[in-house]
Amino acid sequence: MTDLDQALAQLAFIQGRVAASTRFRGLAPSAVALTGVLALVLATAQSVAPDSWGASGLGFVWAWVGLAAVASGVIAVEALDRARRLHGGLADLMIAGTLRLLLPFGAAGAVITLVIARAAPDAIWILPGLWQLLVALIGFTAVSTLPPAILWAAAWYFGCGTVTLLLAAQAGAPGPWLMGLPFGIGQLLVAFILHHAARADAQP
Amino acid sequence: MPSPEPPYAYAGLDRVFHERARLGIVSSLAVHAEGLGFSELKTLCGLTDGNLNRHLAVLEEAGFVAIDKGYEGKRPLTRCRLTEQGRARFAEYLAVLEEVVRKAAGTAQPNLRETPA
Repeated sequence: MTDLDQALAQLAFIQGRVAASTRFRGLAPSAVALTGVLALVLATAQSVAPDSWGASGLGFVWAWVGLAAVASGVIAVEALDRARRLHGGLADLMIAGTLRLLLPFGAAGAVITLVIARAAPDAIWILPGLWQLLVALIGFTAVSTLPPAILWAAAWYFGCGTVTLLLAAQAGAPGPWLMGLPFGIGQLLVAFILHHAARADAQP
Repeated sequence: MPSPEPPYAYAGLDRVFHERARLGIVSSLAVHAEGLGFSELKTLCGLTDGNLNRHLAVLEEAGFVAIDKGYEGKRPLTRCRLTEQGRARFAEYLAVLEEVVRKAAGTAQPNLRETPA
């Protein structure tokens, strides 16, 4: 290895360490809040017109999977743009680090959903609680790269996941508000935490 | 229409960072998200109290470092940390430094690049 290659390797090492200790600021409070509002809107639609909006069975699963895909897209598009603006030379490293954190949870959620929807549709009631627990785990894992107060949102999702599992087990079926309230309030809480942290960062 | 920046201008090599002692201070703060105490920073960078104070003042004036004076128990504690602006600008600085080395690596003669045995 040449001296110049060594210098590049050392620079890459420093950049990696700096990225690892830098808070990810790509998540836009407005985009996260929008996903919370969308969750409340879908839960309302499923309550008002259950037949049209898939309030039960496989329709319920695909409606919320669709919403999750839209929400992920909205947050990701905004996050890529913001990360490039706010993290400059570290943007790619920060985005890669965030993806490394999120992808295992996303993959686990997708596998659980597909297996239950295809092989055990009678157990669909378990999905809302599991989804909320997975989001809680993302929050607990991301505490070093997001504002520390994100722990409150993670605790919210963890509590909701537990309660949702209990309620859905008793009913034997998922209900729109077992998704709408946890994700609606949870995402608005995350948006508030991000907004508050951004304001604190902006102060000298 | 503004003329493009000359390829070897390296405007991103901020002079505030491009000084040995300050580079040491900023590098050590950059990998400690919660910041460092004055004494820890002094030890890590091998600086005297006076030197560290002087360089911290330059970094604080540029808005790159925040200095919080408080107490740990009854003991006064001065804590230094990189601001978000400082962190972003240091990231840009590292990216320009990388560009400098890459260009140097691209133009260096193979026999000049090898480390002597």
